[in-house]
Amino acid sequence: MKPEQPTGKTSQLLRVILVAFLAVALSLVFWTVFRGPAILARDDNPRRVEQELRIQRGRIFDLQRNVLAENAETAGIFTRIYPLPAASPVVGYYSLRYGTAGIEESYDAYLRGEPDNRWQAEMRQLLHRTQTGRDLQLTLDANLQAQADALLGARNGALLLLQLEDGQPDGSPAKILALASHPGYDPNFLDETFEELAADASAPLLNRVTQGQYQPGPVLQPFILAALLDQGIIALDEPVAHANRPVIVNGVATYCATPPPLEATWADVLAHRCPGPLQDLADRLPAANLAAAFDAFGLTEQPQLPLNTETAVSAPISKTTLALIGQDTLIVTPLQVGVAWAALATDGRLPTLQLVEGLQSETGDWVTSTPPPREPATAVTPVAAQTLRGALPRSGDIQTFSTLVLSGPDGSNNSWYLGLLPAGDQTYAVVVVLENNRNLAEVAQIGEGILTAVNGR
Amino acid sequence: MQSVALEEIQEQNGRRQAGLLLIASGFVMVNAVALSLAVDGALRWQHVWAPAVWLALMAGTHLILHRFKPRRDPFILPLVALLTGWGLVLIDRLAANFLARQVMWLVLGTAVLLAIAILPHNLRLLRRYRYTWLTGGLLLLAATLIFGVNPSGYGAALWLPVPLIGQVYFQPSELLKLLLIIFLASYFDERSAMLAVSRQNGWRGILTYLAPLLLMWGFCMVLLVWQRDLGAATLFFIVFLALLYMATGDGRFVLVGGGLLLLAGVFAYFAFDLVALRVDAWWNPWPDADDRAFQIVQSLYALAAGGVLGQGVGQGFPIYIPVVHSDFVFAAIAEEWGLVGSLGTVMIFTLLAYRGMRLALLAKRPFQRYLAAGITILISAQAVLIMAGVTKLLPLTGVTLPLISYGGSSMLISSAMIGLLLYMSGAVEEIGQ
Repeated sequence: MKPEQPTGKTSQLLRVILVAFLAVALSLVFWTVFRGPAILARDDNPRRVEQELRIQRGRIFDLQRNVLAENAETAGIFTRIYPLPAASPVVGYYSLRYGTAGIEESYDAYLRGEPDNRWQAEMRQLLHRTQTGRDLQLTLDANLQAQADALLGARNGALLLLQLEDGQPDGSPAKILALASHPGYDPNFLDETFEELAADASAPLLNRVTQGQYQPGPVLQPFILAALLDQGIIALDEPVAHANRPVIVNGVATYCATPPPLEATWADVLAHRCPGPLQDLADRLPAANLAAAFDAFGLTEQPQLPLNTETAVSAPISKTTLALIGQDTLIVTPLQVGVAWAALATDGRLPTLQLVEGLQSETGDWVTSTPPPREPATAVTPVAAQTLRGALPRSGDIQTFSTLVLSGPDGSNNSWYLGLLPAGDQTYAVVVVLENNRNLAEVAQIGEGILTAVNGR
Repeated sequence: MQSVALEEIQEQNGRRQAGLLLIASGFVMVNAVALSLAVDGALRWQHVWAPAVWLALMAGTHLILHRFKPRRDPFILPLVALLTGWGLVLIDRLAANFLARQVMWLVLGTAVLLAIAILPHNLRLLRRYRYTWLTGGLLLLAATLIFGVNPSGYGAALWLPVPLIGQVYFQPSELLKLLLIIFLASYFDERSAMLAVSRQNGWRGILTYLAPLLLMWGFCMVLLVWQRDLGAATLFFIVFLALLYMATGDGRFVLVGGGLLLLAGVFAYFAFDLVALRVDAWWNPWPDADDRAFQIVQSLYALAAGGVLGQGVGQGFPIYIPVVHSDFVFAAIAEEWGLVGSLGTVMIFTLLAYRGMRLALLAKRPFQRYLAAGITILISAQAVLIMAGVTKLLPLTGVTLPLISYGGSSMLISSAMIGLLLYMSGAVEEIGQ
């Protein structure tokens, strides 16, 4: 028997080797291209954490380019630093362990420098560029924010300060200059304190301005009266009988904030914040019209802001007499009240809220950020708004409306302060609420304090 | 006329080899600089000295081969240079404390490569004293029973300390790979015809016929049980089967041998925890991703993280893979150079296999044919075993990626094998002319 040609066997072995290498190549393609994305997303992949630590997030500035959030680098690993912890209700936090909140959350992709499209992503990987985010500028004023925080002090509550442009028919947005919520937290120590903060009954992680849900009570009075004026149902000089009569809610009697004159008018009802006469309007203002007024002032809609403003939807009005004094089903956030209050200040036009002033382009230039336009919406006519504003109590140049609100079945109260300060072409609007507080002077001091500060800056 | 043609071939070989080495040098130096920039943000000597030594070694090797071995295969050295240079960049990246030692082994390996490639009568010596070589290799392996250590302080004691040099170790099983190929090449050179006819002589003939196969299988089993060296045992057996097939042309050897290999695998699975762990981790690593299958899972993460274009040298996280600089260096390539880099590595080994098997095909003498094929199959099988292990195509066998991974003994012996290929390639081309 003649052996086969050895070269034939050698060629066969070469083919086997080539097939083996081809199998390895196919296996590589399988794991990198087809299975890659799925296994990279697994929670136990440590590369996710490593890559996250190496992303240089964009900085966050205030209106005057003071730094509100920046990075500290150690051996290529970045740590987020917040020079003004008082800005945490707006800036939020960035934590590898606990995620993001506030602007850090809503602008996360932008601050991380995520590519806009697949082409950019591929180019970045090809050129091995490190992921660097872009900077962002807020409308927040760091000094005012710090003062707002200091004014609230150890009290639980919320403060919102808006800057409104006057006389602009195109509807300039209302810029948020300060937004404080107490109790709060220091985002620099979030990882160390998060569990404690999350378990705290006083909810320091909750942004009370955007998500704190409060019984409005007499806070609704300016808006209801403006709607009534607008519809011609009342006139401010119309007499009102028994203005200071008590209103019983949950067995608790409430009266005017200050004693009205014996022969009171609707202007006096507003000035002295009397609940009783409002209940008489139930016959003249059906529930549907009242609900429409709430809608018109934006009290039932979720404000559009790059913060979490989501709240529970209020149930339809069950009792008009209670709804008229803000003790029915409607629950509001200070932000919603701020929008309604700003509408009165800007002749009935519902403002667009603005929190981001500028964004950085890819070339590093600043581009002014304009909030997405909303449908033109008018709460009331300019005449009604101006008439109502004229009847508001004054403290110097400031038009104010402060009141106590029965906030729960246990008889506890929240104190509210709404203030407007015209200053040249601008008007500053402030909303302050203090929880479990019956001292109107205290809440007024905070409101006037921040308005004085903004006027003097 | 003939001498003019030979000179032209020599010049062409020189130009080809120089051009390809230039490409390899560009790749290695650019990556060394990129590593320095990525890790330190500046060009640092600590990342460039080893590639510079490598560059000098390869340039010297090129010149010496051009002078003394003008008809060599011009592709083998550049392919090997690319692998060793890339390996140095990787060791600097993954285990910089081993870099100086690896450079030392590379210098030694290059010297051995050149000595084998250019000195005359090498093959004659290897053939004539095949039993002496093999016995010496087995004795060295046996010495690990008494003097064996493991440099990492744990695991199988497969290394011998090199006398008079502190902290330097040699792995006899690496040497045995080469000696066994030499022995088998010589054995089959003499006995292939006899083997081919012996099966026609009844039971005695069949036993004679099967004896080498059973002996080799027995030896590999001893190696497996004694040293727990699954990788070396598998490699020995694969090379043996391939050469036996070449020598006899009998495909049944492959079938029976494959069956025996499988049998040994089943035995090892139930006998040794390490083998059971590797098989279990290969079959389904995910439930045990944080513990027993950690290494293979991290390797798969590295492949996935690399994607098509890679994270960039020094910018991935291959250090999460235990002993990445040795067994899992291929995963590090896949992570930092991406699919492009890992397929490139596969391509380099494929080309090397092709050039090696081409030598076997062109060889006029059976000994050279078996030797060239044996060396090529060993390097290719080792590369396939570890690359397939890293990509979860096969269970891990614990072998290194030839010429790239950290490992002095492996570098030295692989260099010697390449030296033999270069030696034979000069002879082949000469004969071809």
